[in-house]
Amino acid sequence: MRETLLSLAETMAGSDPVKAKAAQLAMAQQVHAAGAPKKSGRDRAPLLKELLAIVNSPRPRLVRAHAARLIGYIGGKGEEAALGKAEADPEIGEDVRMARERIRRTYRL
Amino acid sequence: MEAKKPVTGFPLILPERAKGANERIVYGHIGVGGMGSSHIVGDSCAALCDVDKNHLRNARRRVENEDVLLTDDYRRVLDRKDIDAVTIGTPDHWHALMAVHACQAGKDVYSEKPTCKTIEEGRAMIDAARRYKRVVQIGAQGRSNPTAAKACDYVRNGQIGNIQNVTLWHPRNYVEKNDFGKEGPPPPELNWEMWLGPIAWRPYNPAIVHFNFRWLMDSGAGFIRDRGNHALSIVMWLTGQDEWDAPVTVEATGDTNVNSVYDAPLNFRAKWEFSKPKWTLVWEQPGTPNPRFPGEWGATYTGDKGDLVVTGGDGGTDTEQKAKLYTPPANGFKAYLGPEPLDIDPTERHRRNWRNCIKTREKPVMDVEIGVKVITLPIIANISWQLGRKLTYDPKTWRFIGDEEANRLLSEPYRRPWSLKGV
Repeated sequence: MRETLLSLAETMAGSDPVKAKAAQLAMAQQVHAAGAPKKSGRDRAPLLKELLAIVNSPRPRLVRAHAARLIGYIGGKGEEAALGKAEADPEIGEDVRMARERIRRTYRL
Repeated sequence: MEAKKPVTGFPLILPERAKGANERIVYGHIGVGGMGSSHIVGDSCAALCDVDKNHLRNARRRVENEDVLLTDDYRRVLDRKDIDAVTIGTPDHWHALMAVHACQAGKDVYSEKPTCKTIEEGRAMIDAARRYKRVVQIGAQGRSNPTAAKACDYVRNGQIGNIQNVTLWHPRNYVEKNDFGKEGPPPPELNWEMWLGPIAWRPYNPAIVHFNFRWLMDSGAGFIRDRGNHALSIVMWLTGQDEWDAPVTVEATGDTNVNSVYDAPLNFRAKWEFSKPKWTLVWEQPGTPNPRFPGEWGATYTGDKGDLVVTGGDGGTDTEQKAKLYTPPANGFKAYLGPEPLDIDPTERHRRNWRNCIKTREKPVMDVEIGVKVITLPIIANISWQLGRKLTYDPKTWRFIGDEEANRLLSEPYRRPWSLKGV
């Protein structure tokens, strides 16, 4: 049973820097594992749903920015569109724009 | 692998505005702390650029021109019509962007290693150099090292036979120290926004400025892309693989020190398997120095008839006596070193090679196209490590085969307003 990205994001937002960093790395590992060629959209869907929730949450800036970047690695057209509103976010708007650009390059949107 | 290949000359870059042999080249120097400060030409410098005022103040002392432009914005240097050429000695994440913009502005470029951060950047650098007819030298000065050339002659003339394996050793990345630093406002002398430039925003932290930018994947990506640019440049030169164009597989492993702010791995091992010709390249960090000819970092070249050890890969490259004493046959391969005198410091030889090429419009010994070929190896190894899987990269298409997520890492979106499209 995997630890959810939401849970890891909580740890990443915590005050223990060692645990926070381990959580940040664990989030990326889950995403990269789901991005492997043999994995399908079904494998990625729950992760993307959690990542979008983190982006749109009141968590610290770097946690939300990390989630946005991870969406850029495995997100599809749906996530690109879903991130649109967050691009106006005063804190992570630029991180979101960069994530959307990465997806657009894939699909030549 | 065929060991013996004919000598190839360096074709001319068509001159746009060739300088006469005695005509003075006017320089702008971008990034003047650390290695960047070594490139300053004190008697012909029109501009100094650095995001750290302390670097600017120190560099200013070495420049004769009292009206030298001092700025923290490289675009002001590129605006200057009187500047012919620029040196770039910034953190890695700026190299390609500045080099491309400099070419667009009509400047010749000496850019420090590593050549670039992504494959997209590398392609843009080559395109810009060719489109704007610029001389672009990458600061991998092992190519100007006469001792490395002796090793090259030895290997390329078949003294160890066909290459089967090259194994490099290097100390671990300097991330063992448990250090998260202390995030906070940048010091008044530092323009933090310009330090970050195209990479994702993060708060200032003295633990990553200046030398330690190397240990963040966004700005440095570890020794594999730093000194790896030197070491792998020598490998590709000695093995005659500057123009490799067949698919290569890469598999990298490493572990991160979670007790520090740095995200580059502490230990790192990468293995590339080339397909045409078949040979294997291994980077071990830490690795074991070859006891026959030890050094802090180096490589053992193994062929089907023997082996050779080469240490370093930069200006301090060294090799075994058997290679130093070797004389190539009259019709054999002779490594091209440029016409500069052999008895000067290799780093200075490398710079002089660039300056000479600015006047002759020849390609320099570490032309950007070779630089991109070399840096492709650590770039794809880092991607393999990040993703945790073996990958196959096709240099003809500039893409990984059958791995969409890996292909998404071949470029990195920039923070606004930065773009490879224009200054």
